[in-house]
Amino acid sequence: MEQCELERELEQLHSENWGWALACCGRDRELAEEVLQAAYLRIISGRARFNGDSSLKTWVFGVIRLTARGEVRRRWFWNRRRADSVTVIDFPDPTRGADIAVEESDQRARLIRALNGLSRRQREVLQLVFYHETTIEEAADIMEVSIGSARTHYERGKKALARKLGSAET
Amino acid sequence: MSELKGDDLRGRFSTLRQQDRRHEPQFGEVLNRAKLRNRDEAGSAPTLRWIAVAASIVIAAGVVINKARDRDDERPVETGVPGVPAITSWQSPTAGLLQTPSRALLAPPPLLSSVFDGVTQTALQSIAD
Repeated sequence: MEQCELERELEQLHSENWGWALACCGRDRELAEEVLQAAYLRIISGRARFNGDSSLKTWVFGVIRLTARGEVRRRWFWNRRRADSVTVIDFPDPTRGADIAVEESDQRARLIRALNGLSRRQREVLQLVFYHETTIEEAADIMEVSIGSARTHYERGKKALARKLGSAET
Repeated sequence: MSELKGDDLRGRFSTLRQQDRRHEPQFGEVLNRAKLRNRDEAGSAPTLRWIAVAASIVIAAGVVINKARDRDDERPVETGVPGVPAITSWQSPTAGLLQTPSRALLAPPPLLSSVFDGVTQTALQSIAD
Protein backbone atom coordinates (compact mmCIF):
# COMPACT_ATOMS: atom_id res chain seq x y z
CA MET A 1 0.00 0.00 0.00
CA GLU A 2 1.27 3.45 -0.96
CA GLN A 3 2.16 5.95 1.77
CA CYS A 4 -0.54 8.45 0.68
CA GLU A 5 -3.16 5.78 0.46
CA LEU A 6 -2.20 4.47 3.89
CA GLU A 7 -2.47 7.96 5.37
CA ARG A 8 -5.89 8.44 3.78
CA GLU A 9 -7.11 5.14 5.19
CA LEU A 10 -5.73 6.05 8.61
CA GLU A 11 -7.56 9.37 8.50
CA GLN A 12 -10.84 7.60 7.80
CA LEU A 13 -10.24 5.29 10.74
CA HIS A 14 -8.96 8.03 13.04
CA SER A 15 -12.10 8.39 15.21
CA GLU A 16 -12.27 4.64 15.69
CA ASN A 17 -8.55 4.52 16.41
CA TRP A 18 -8.93 7.24 19.01
CA GLY A 19 -11.73 5.38 20.80
CA TRP A 20 -9.72 2.17 20.78
CA ALA A 21 -6.58 3.91 22.00
CA LEU A 22 -8.60 5.41 24.88
CA ALA A 23 -9.92 1.98 25.79
CA CYS A 24 -6.43 0.45 25.70
CA CYS A 25 -5.04 3.22 27.94
CA GLY A 26 -7.63 3.09 30.73
CA ARG A 27 -9.29 6.18 29.20
CA ASP A 28 -6.25 8.36 29.92
CA ARG A 29 -6.44 10.95 27.13
CA GLU A 30 -2.84 12.08 27.33
CA LEU A 31 -1.55 8.53 27.19
CA ALA A 32 -4.01 7.60 24.43
CA GLU A 33 -2.78 10.48 22.29
CA GLU A 34 0.83 9.40 22.80
CA VAL A 35 -0.03 5.82 21.97
CA LEU A 36 -1.90 6.82 18.84
CA GLN A 37 1.06 8.89 17.72
CA ALA A 38 3.47 6.02 18.39
CA ALA A 39 1.20 3.60 16.54
CA TYR A 40 0.99 5.93 13.52
CA LEU A 41 4.76 6.26 13.64
CA ARG A 42 5.13 2.48 13.49
CA ILE A 43 2.79 2.33 10.55
CA ILE A 44 4.20 5.18 8.45
CA SER A 45 7.82 4.23 9.15
CA GLY A 46 7.12 0.68 7.96
CA ARG A 47 8.05 -0.93 11.27
CA ALA A 48 4.57 -2.43 11.27
CA ARG A 49 3.60 -3.83 7.89
CA PHE A 50 0.14 -4.59 6.63
CA ASN A 51 0.19 -7.90 4.74
CA GLY A 52 -3.52 -8.04 3.92
CA ASP A 53 -4.31 -11.08 6.08
CA SER A 54 -7.10 -9.16 7.80
CA SER A 55 -8.94 -5.89 7.25
CA LEU A 56 -6.92 -2.70 7.65
CA LYS A 57 -9.02 -1.71 10.67
CA THR A 58 -8.27 -5.00 12.42
CA TRP A 59 -4.58 -4.62 11.71
CA VAL A 60 -4.42 -0.97 12.86
CA PHE A 61 -6.31 -1.88 16.03
CA GLY A 62 -3.78 -4.65 16.66
CA VAL A 63 -0.90 -2.18 16.27
CA ILE A 64 -2.59 0.28 18.66
CA ARG A 65 -3.21 -2.46 21.19
CA LEU A 66 0.39 -3.64 21.17
CA THR A 67 1.73 -0.08 21.31
CA ALA A 68 -0.56 0.73 24.23
CA ARG A 69 0.48 -2.37 26.13
CA GLY A 70 4.16 -1.50 25.68
CA GLU A 71 3.60 2.10 26.73
CA VAL A 72 1.47 1.17 29.76
CA ARG A 73 4.15 -1.35 30.85
CA ARG A 74 6.91 1.23 30.38
CA ARG A 75 5.00 3.79 32.44
CA TRP A 76 4.27 1.24 35.14
CA PHE A 77 7.98 0.42 35.51
CA TRP A 78 8.89 4.10 35.45
CA ASN A 79 6.27 4.97 38.11
CA ARG A 80 7.35 2.04 40.26
CA ARG A 81 10.99 3.08 40.09
CA ARG A 82 10.09 6.65 40.94
CA ALA A 83 7.85 5.51 43.77
CA ASP A 84 10.69 3.32 45.12
CA SER A 85 13.16 6.19 45.07
CA VAL A 86 10.93 8.58 47.03
CA THR A 87 9.13 5.82 48.97
CA VAL A 88 5.71 7.07 47.99
CA ILE A 89 3.01 4.51 47.37
CA ASP A 90 1.06 5.60 44.31
CA PHE A 91 -2.15 3.63 44.00
CA PRO A 92 -3.43 3.51 40.43
CA ASP A 93 -6.67 5.33 39.84
CA PRO A 94 -8.92 3.21 37.57
CA THR A 95 -10.74 6.26 36.22
CA ARG A 96 -7.55 8.32 35.72
CA GLY A 97 -7.80 10.81 32.89
CA ALA A 98 -11.49 10.50 32.56
CA ASP A 99 -12.40 13.60 34.59
CA ILE A 100 -15.76 11.95 35.04
CA ALA A 101 -16.95 13.92 38.03
CA VAL A 102 -16.41 17.29 36.42
CA GLU A 103 -17.25 17.24 32.77
CA GLU A 104 -18.84 13.97 31.77
CA SER A 105 -22.26 12.55 32.20
CA ASP A 106 -23.12 10.31 35.09
CA GLN A 107 -24.05 7.49 32.73
CA ARG A 108 -20.64 7.57 31.08
CA ALA A 109 -18.94 7.53 34.48
CA ARG A 110 -20.98 4.54 35.54
CA LEU A 111 -20.17 2.68 32.34
CA ILE A 112 -16.44 3.39 32.71
CA ARG A 113 -16.50 2.32 36.33
CA ALA A 114 -18.34 -0.87 35.45
CA LEU A 115 -15.91 -1.60 32.60
CA ASN A 116 -12.97 -1.09 34.93
CA GLY A 117 -14.43 -3.76 37.18
CA LEU A 118 -14.10 -6.36 34.40
CA SER A 119 -11.02 -8.30 33.33
CA ARG A 120 -8.88 -6.79 30.58
CA ARG A 121 -9.97 -9.35 28.01
CA GLN A 122 -13.66 -8.88 28.82
CA ARG A 123 -13.26 -5.10 28.63
CA GLU A 124 -11.48 -5.35 25.29
CA VAL A 125 -14.01 -7.65 23.65
CA LEU A 126 -16.98 -5.60 24.85
CA GLN A 127 -15.36 -2.38 23.68
CA LEU A 128 -14.70 -3.90 20.26
CA VAL A 129 -18.16 -5.37 19.82
CA PHE A 130 -20.35 -2.62 21.30
CA TYR A 131 -18.27 0.49 20.69
CA HIS A 132 -16.52 -0.35 17.41
CA GLU A 133 -19.20 -2.74 16.15
CA THR A 134 -16.76 -5.46 15.16
CA THR A 135 -17.73 -9.11 15.05
CA ILE A 136 -16.45 -11.50 17.71
CA GLU A 137 -14.18 -13.05 15.04
CA GLU A 138 -12.61 -9.68 14.30
CA ALA A 139 -12.30 -8.97 18.01
CA ALA A 140 -10.53 -12.31 18.48
CA ASP A 141 -8.13 -11.37 15.67
CA ILE A 142 -7.35 -8.00 17.25
CA MET A 143 -6.95 -9.48 20.73
CA GLU A 144 -4.83 -12.35 19.39
CA VAL A 145 -6.98 -15.02 21.04
CA SER A 146 -9.03 -17.89 19.62
CA ILE A 147 -12.63 -17.26 18.59
CA GLY A 148 -13.85 -19.60 21.31
CA SER A 149 -11.92 -17.71 23.95
CA ALA A 150 -13.17 -14.35 22.64
CA ARG A 151 -16.75 -15.65 22.71
CA THR A 152 -16.36 -16.81 26.32
CA HIS A 153 -14.92 -13.42 27.34
CA TYR A 154 -17.75 -11.72 25.51
CA GLU A 155 -20.53 -13.74 27.15
CA ARG A 156 -19.10 -13.51 30.64
CA GLY A 157 -18.17 -9.86 30.23
CA LYS A 158 -21.59 -8.90 28.92
CA LYS A 159 -23.33 -10.58 31.83
CA ALA A 160 -20.97 -9.05 34.38
CA LEU A 161 -21.28 -5.57 32.85
CA ALA A 162 -25.07 -5.74 32.71
CA ARG A 163 -25.13 -6.89 36.32
CA LYS A 164 -22.78 -4.12 37.44
CA LEU A 165 -24.71 -1.43 35.59
CA GLY A 166 -28.04 -2.79 36.75
CA SER A 167 -26.99 -2.92 40.38
CA ALA A 168 -25.46 0.55 40.15
CA GLU A 169 -28.75 1.99 39.03
CA THR A 170 -31.02 0.32 41.57
CA MET B 1 -31.07 -7.18 40.91
CA SER B 2 -31.99 -5.81 37.48
CA GLU B 3 -29.90 -6.58 34.41
CA LEU B 4 -29.46 -4.58 31.23
CA LYS B 5 -30.12 -5.93 27.75
CA GLY B 6 -27.71 -5.91 24.80
CA ASP B 7 -29.46 -2.99 23.10
CA ASP B 8 -29.16 -0.88 26.20
CA LEU B 9 -25.47 -1.67 26.40
CA ARG B 10 -25.08 -0.70 22.76
CA GLY B 11 -26.82 2.59 23.48
CA ARG B 12 -24.53 3.34 26.39
CA PHE B 13 -21.42 2.59 24.34
CA SER B 14 -22.78 4.80 21.59
CA THR B 15 -23.10 7.70 24.07
CA LEU B 16 -19.58 7.01 25.25
CA ARG B 17 -18.33 7.11 21.66
CA GLN B 18 -20.01 10.45 21.01
CA GLN B 19 -18.48 11.91 24.15
CA ASP B 20 -15.04 10.54 23.30
CA ARG B 21 -15.19 12.20 19.88
CA ARG B 22 -15.45 15.60 21.54
CA HIS B 23 -11.92 15.16 22.84
CA GLU B 24 -10.52 13.58 19.71
CA PRO B 25 -7.18 15.07 18.60
CA GLN B 26 -6.91 16.22 14.98
CA PHE B 27 -5.62 13.51 12.67
CA GLY B 28 -3.23 15.92 10.93
CA GLU B 29 -1.66 16.97 14.22
CA VAL B 30 -1.11 13.42 15.42
CA LEU B 31 0.31 12.36 12.07
CA ASN B 32 2.61 15.38 11.84
CA ARG B 33 3.97 14.74 15.31
CA ALA B 34 4.51 11.10 14.37
CA LYS B 35 6.35 12.18 11.22
CA LEU B 36 8.54 14.60 13.17
CA ARG B 37 9.34 11.85 15.65
CA ASN B 38 10.15 9.54 12.76
CA ARG B 39 12.55 12.12 11.31
CA ASP B 40 14.21 12.64 14.71
CA GLU B 41 14.59 8.92 15.23
CA ALA B 42 15.92 8.45 11.71
CA GLY B 43 18.47 11.22 12.35
CA SER B 44 19.68 9.79 15.63
CA ALA B 45 19.65 6.16 14.53
CA PRO B 46 22.85 6.28 12.37
CA THR B 47 24.73 8.10 15.16
CA LEU B 48 23.72 5.42 17.65
CA ARG B 49 24.67 2.73 15.15
CA TRP B 50 28.15 4.25 14.72
CA ILE B 51 28.61 4.53 18.46
CA ALA B 52 27.67 0.85 18.84
CA VAL B 53 30.10 -0.17 16.06
CA ALA B 54 32.95 1.89 17.57
CA ALA B 55 32.27 0.45 21.04
CA SER B 56 32.33 -3.12 19.76
CA ILE B 57 35.60 -2.49 17.88
CA VAL B 58 37.22 -1.10 21.05
CA ILE B 59 36.02 -4.09 23.09
CA ALA B 60 37.25 -6.58 20.47
CA ALA B 61 40.65 -4.84 20.30
CA GLY B 62 40.90 -4.95 24.10
CA VAL B 63 40.19 -8.69 24.16
CA VAL B 64 42.77 -9.40 21.41
CA ILE B 65 45.47 -7.32 23.15
CA ASN B 66 44.78 -8.99 26.48
CA LYS B 67 45.04 -12.48 24.97
CA ALA B 68 48.29 -11.60 23.19
CA ARG B 69 49.75 -10.33 26.47
CA ASP B 70 48.82 -13.58 28.23
CA ARG B 71 50.50 -15.60 25.50
CA ASP B 72 53.72 -13.53 25.88
CA ASP B 73 53.77 -14.23 29.64
CA GLU B 74 53.53 -18.00 29.11
CA ARG B 75 56.33 -18.15 26.51
CA PRO B 76 59.91 -18.95 27.98
CA VAL B 77 62.40 -16.12 27.90
CA GLU B 78 64.98 -16.52 25.20
CA THR B 79 68.69 -15.94 25.90
CA GLY B 80 69.73 -15.10 22.40
CA VAL B 81 72.03 -18.20 22.24
CA PRO B 82 70.29 -21.00 20.38
CA GLY B 83 69.68 -24.13 22.53
CA VAL B 84 70.55 -22.40 25.83
CA PRO B 85 67.60 -21.58 28.10
CA ALA B 86 67.43 -18.34 30.09
CA ILE B 87 68.52 -18.39 33.74
CA THR B 88 64.93 -17.73 34.84
CA SER B 89 63.67 -20.89 33.19
CA TRP B 90 66.74 -23.13 33.91
CA GLN B 91 66.26 -26.13 36.20
CA SER B 92 68.85 -28.38 37.74
CA PRO B 93 68.79 -31.95 36.35
CA THR B 94 68.80 -33.30 39.97
CA ALA B 95 66.13 -30.91 41.26
CA GLY B 96 63.66 -33.76 41.33
CA LEU B 97 65.72 -35.62 43.96
CA LEU B 98 65.51 -32.70 46.38
CA GLN B 99 61.76 -32.81 46.43
CA THR B 100 60.78 -34.28 49.82
CA PRO B 101 57.56 -36.18 49.96
CA SER B 102 56.09 -33.75 52.49
CA ARG B 103 52.85 -35.64 52.78
CA ALA B 104 54.64 -38.79 53.88
CA LEU B 105 56.72 -36.87 56.47
CA LEU B 106 53.79 -35.03 57.96
CA ALA B 107 51.48 -38.05 58.06
CA PRO B 108 50.79 -39.38 61.61
CA PRO B 109 51.97 -42.89 62.53
CA PRO B 110 49.41 -45.65 61.94
CA LEU B 111 47.14 -46.31 64.91
CA LEU B 112 46.87 -50.03 64.27
CA SER B 113 50.03 -52.06 64.00
CA SER B 114 50.65 -54.17 60.98
CA VAL B 115 51.55 -57.87 60.99
CA PHE B 116 54.66 -56.96 59.03
CA ASP B 117 55.97 -54.54 61.71
CA GLY B 118 58.04 -57.21 63.48
CA VAL B 119 59.28 -58.75 60.25
CA THR B 120 60.50 -55.47 58.79
CA GLN B 121 62.08 -54.38 62.10
CA THR B 122 64.11 -57.65 62.54
CA ALA B 123 65.19 -57.52 58.92
CA LEU B 124 66.40 -53.94 59.35
CA GLN B 125 68.19 -54.85 62.61
CA SER B 126 69.98 -57.76 60.96
CA ILE B 127 71.14 -55.49 58.13
CA ALA B 128 72.44 -52.95 60.69
CA ASP B 129 74.27 -55.68 62.58
